[in-house]
Amino acid sequence: MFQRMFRQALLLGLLIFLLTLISGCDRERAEERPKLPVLPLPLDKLQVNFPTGVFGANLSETVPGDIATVNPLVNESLAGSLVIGRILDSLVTLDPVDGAVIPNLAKSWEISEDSLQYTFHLREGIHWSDGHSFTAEDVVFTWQTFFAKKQDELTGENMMDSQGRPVYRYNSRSTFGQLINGQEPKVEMIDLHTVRFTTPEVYAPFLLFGGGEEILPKHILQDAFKNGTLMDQWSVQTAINEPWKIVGLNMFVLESYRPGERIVFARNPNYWKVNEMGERLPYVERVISKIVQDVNSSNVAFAQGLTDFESIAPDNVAWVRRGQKKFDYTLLDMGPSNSTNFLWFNLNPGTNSEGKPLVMPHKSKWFSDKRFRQAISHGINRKGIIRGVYFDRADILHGYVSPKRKFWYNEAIRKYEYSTEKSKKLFAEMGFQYRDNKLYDFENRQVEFSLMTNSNNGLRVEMATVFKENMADLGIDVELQFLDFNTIVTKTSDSFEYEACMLGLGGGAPDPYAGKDILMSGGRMHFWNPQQAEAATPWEARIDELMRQVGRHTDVNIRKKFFNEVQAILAEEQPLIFLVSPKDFIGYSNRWRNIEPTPLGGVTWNLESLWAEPE
Amino acid sequence: MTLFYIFREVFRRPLGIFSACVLGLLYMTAIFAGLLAPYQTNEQDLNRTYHPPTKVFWKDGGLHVEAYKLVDPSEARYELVEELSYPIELFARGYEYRLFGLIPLERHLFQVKDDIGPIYLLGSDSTGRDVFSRLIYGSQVSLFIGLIGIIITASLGFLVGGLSGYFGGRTDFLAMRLVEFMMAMPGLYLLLALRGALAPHFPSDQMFFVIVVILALIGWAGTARILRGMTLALRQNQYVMAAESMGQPPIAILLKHILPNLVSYLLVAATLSIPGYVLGEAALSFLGLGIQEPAASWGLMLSQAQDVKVFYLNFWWLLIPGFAIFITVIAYNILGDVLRDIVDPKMQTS
Repeated sequence: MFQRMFRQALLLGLLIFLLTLISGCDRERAEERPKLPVLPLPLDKLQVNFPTGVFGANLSETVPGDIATVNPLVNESLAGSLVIGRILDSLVTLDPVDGAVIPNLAKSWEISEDSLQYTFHLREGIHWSDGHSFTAEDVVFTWQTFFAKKQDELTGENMMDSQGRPVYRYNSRSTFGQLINGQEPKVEMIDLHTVRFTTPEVYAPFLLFGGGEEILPKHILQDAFKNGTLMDQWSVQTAINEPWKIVGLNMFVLESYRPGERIVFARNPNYWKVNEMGERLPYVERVISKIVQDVNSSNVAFAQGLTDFESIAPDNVAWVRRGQKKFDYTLLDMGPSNSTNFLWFNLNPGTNSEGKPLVMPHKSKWFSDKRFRQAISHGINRKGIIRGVYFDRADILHGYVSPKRKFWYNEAIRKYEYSTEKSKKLFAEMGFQYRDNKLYDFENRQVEFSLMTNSNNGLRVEMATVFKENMADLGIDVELQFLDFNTIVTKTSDSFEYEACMLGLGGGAPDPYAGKDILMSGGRMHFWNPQQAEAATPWEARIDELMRQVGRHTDVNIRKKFFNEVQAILAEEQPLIFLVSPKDFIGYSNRWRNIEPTPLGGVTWNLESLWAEPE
Repeated sequence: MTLFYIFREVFRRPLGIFSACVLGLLYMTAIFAGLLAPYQTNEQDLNRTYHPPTKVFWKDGGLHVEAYKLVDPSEARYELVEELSYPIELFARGYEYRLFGLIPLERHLFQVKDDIGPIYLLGSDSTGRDVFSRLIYGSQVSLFIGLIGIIITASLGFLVGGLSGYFGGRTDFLAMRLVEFMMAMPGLYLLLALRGALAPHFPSDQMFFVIVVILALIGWAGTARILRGMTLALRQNQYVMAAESMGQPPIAILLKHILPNLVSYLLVAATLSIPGYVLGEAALSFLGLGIQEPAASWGLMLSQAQDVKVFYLNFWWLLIPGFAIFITVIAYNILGDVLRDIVDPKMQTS
């Protein structure tokens, strides 16, 4: 009897517990997403000239890799910047055809005569996706977050580090990216729709680098900025639970996010571009981005007709092309890409912590002779690499600038065609000799070195084996080391204990000054001998000087002249021996209209005007 | 039960003959690799990447090989040229090699006469290297890795197991705790960690030995444990006691009186665990942590076949190393089974 009562009581208790659980869930769900208000079209709306289409289609795509945050101040990943770039927008953008800087959120700008002041006139009447109006205050707020100083809690004074530099409250990538030779640009609001930037010295890329900064919403992030939690805002948790809190000015807002699974974007109902009929864009209702492991699985999904737009790796083109009829898509060759592949010798003359030289002295002697590097460059069968490894879908890379950047590309630099005779002639000039088809230096040491590259890049591993065979033809023994990427980064930027390395770079900003970290002798990515206190060679000193000029001048023709000389010096000295640059390929599903791909903008540069019949 | 008896018994059973012959053939290929392979492992031909396998046929009183033409370099598509074929010369001169690593030779079983065209019995890979030659040279690594590994494992296992079983007491306690320590370690992670730590110090062609040693150093614990139990039992036998009372040193007793009793077990265990090494090498190389380019091994060759384009463009010949691994593992397992039947007739499998 008692037992039964006890059991009933237990059951009852359990029931009540479950009920509260369920109601708890309900209460949480009650806090549903707010409906976004639709405000009248802005005064300074932008009309785009594409034929009128039909609204309502969904776009599906794949993102290689998951996101770690949606906060642009914290983000470091490619997938993250892709997502953020869909939501946030910037004052200026790049012309998809010629790469010039064109108006975006700023309808126009003036640069003062001394090239120090930039005055931007913002579009009037634009609203954030949540209906709040966008003004110069947002721009000023965004730049405040970069340069807000950390203050001493007791005295209220700005804190300084040991070298007398201010300590920043929110130490983001932009904080350092936007410093000009260690000094901050000044930002001031003239009126609600005018902002003025003042740079501490003439700094040519400011229009692009400064104007390209994504604008943050002051009305959303101001509180977090004040109470110090700015870096924790817009985290993955926000994206999962309250995606509507992430507001932007670009054509989409975040609708939902499931980690490792998918990201869904919805149309921003307050976007500021309109079509010919004066209807608000974009046509696309939703973008559904599936998160996939890597580029290969992304390509496979496109080849099976599962996604709408895709950039395709050069070695996958052959089989992706086979599905064109069956799944009704088109594959386009967009010409050369931004990615470059190169190798270099360690020219660091330093010693390690035990006092041993980083590179054996006799090898260092070979590597630092430019004739040696030129001979190696002549000995590489780049055409063979392109034909064999890339299936003819790459271009020979002669110098630092990829042929894609037509404007900055210097055609007149020294080129190193494949010629073992020329290599051998250069070795003979250096006093090297051949015995039994092996190369010996002037002190009768056999010429051999090791080359490291990252093991997870299949194409690069193949290139390395081709390089080894090419060098064997020159009588040089190359020992290949395939290491994981982090080990390589440690060796090239910290311990410096290696002889030669093969790597690649992709993307990069379109302004040549963005390469100052690689090209200038003090740069962290001056691969062959980084972070020199003073330029080690006259030609490096000359490059430093030229790069400073490139940064200082605003006239593109003068800048181009300086940068051409930089390219010529690099080609003559061969500190980086460039190999090949793969081509860009894009694919799109044929159901989409208004597609006008350009090499610079790809296929989605006019995403707001793309439309398809809704299913 | 002598070794001779075991061998005789193996050859009296059809399965035994079959598996022993397959393995014999495989090892002979590995030993005579230089003679059999028409090309060196790293001989590239960037004009003939992903070349399909070429058939050999009889024409005009001699062997000939089909000729192919590259029709579409962007897709690596080749077409058969009907009217053209290259004559094959037997025992012809080719690249220099050393038979058994000693005798310098330059004759090969077959070569295309005057090297006017390629002979790719199993097609070519992503840099135009002959898959057949790489398969043969790769077998040296993949097959001998098991033999070398098992020798290390068996001797370590016998030493530790035999000594601790024989002496007992504190030696036994210490040795068995060491064994347990080894067994409790997650093998794959230890392997990865050791590989990561050692990789920068070895060039890719010495990686072979590093891998064997790592695999063997991880694998001896199980053998040691079983041998210790068997030694413990054998120790009670009167002939061991007799030898002891006559004052023979422990090592002599271990080798003379105990080892012969363990040989049959060791033989079976070794045969059955060699496939583990072959697969272990394949797994490591597949993960990009084993033998590295430009050296050849079956696991490495198989890892290059995991590229999507291999499947979509039907480069099926790149999967052949997987088939070779399959044959080897099956042959060793059958042989191991046969050996167990002979050694322990009470536990017959059929």
